[in-house]
Formats: sequence, structure tokens, C-alpha cells
Amino acid sequence: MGDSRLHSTASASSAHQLTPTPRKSHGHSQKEVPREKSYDGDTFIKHFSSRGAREIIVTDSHGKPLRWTVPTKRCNLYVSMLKPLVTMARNVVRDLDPSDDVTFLRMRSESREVLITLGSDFILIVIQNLRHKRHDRT
Amino acid sequence: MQQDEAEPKRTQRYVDEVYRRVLEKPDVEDILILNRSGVPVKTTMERDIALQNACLYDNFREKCQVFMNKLEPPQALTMLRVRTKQHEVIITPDGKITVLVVQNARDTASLNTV
Repeated sequence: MGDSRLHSTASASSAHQLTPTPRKSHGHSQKEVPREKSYDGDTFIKHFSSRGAREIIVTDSHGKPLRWTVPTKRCNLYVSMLKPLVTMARNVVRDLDPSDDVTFLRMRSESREVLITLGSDFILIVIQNLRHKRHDRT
Repeated sequence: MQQDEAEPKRTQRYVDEVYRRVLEKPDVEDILILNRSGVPVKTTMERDIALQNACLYDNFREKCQVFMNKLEPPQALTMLRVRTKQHEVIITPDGKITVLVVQNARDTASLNTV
């Protein structure tokens, strides 16, 4: 049994490293998350990601993802497509007024909305689903 | 000038109506209405500034549209908002026309108006 490993502290065979997720040493099945998400220690992202139907990606100012609530492949896909858009928006705004700079970008479609907030040293991307009711403009 | 094809119809009267209604709203600085090929049809800006705005923002809107098509499921862009430090630009593709509004986005939370 694996319990003997945990109990014997004095024996020399305890050179074994204890695994951080003691799933196998307990009798009952524990709902312990085996993988570590990129936002594990981040209460801000945790709070917002639990609101449902939202995907959050935080990148640094160069576009390198720091925290993400989507699968990594999709995160990289989104960032690789959105970073040029952000740069393009910035260029557009600067062309019209050199002292101006983008702070926020919002793209909206029928059922999805992409919000991009540009801070001084970060980029926050939120992709959320919209509900069905929407005022019809005639 | 009638631009008639499949619906929705966006005739000259519609364009004028949109123009008038948007200008009534508070905080609107400029409005620019583009036709299907991105040429300004009705605007409050001067000619060359309007052309520059139209060109740049229409191009940007195309790129955003491409991005929305890559999402799952592919979506059509209904509105685009670019917020800068000094103002906010709202671009709305709408059938045969595109409406571009430049407004000054004040913080109205303290005034209790939405």
C-alpha cells in the first residue's frame, strides 16, 4: 500500500518524494484537479470566469498570453488573430490623431461579443455569449 | 438615389432619417454614412477628413469581420466600437450602408442616465 510510504519518516526509504496530489493514497475518490490552470492563484480571473459563458485571456503588452480560461491551443489562436487587429486599430486611431490612443475595442455580432481592453502593460480579452433578446432597429 | 436590391432597403430617405436621428442624440460629434463600397454618402465632417476616416475604419471593419467569421460558429459583425482617450467611434454595418458615429463618451454613471 502507498500508506506505508507516507507514514515512515524515519526510514531511509523515504527518499521517495511525496506526490502533491494524494489521489491514490485515500480510500474514497477525491475530486482533486490534477492539472494546474494558468490562473490558479489569480482570484480576479477566477471570479470572472465563474460567471459563465465567458472566455478570458490576459496577455502582456507584447501579446504573450499570461492567463487564459480557454484551452491553450484556442488561446494561442485567438491571440494570434486579435493581436494584429489591436495593432491595426491603434494605427487607425493614430493616423487620425497622433496624440490619441485606443483604450477599448468591442466587436459585436448576433450571439457573441469580443471585448478587448488595452492597458498600459497588458491586454485583456473577453469573449462572451449574448442572450437572445436584443432590440430590433428598424 | 435608390439602392434597391434584396432587403433591407436603404433608400435616401432612410439615410436622411438615420442622419437626423443620430445627430439628435447627445454627445455625438460627427456622423459619417458610407455606401456599400465605402464611399461617404452623408457626413458632417469635411471632405478630406471624412474620406480618411471612411477609408481607415472600413478597412478595419473588414478585418474584424474576418475575425468574426473565424469564430465558431461564424458570425456577422453587427457593431464595432473603438474607444480612445478622447472619443469613441461606433461603426455599424447595416445592409447597404455603414454608419460611423464619432461621439464623446462621457462618464454618465454619476448622472444616472443610460
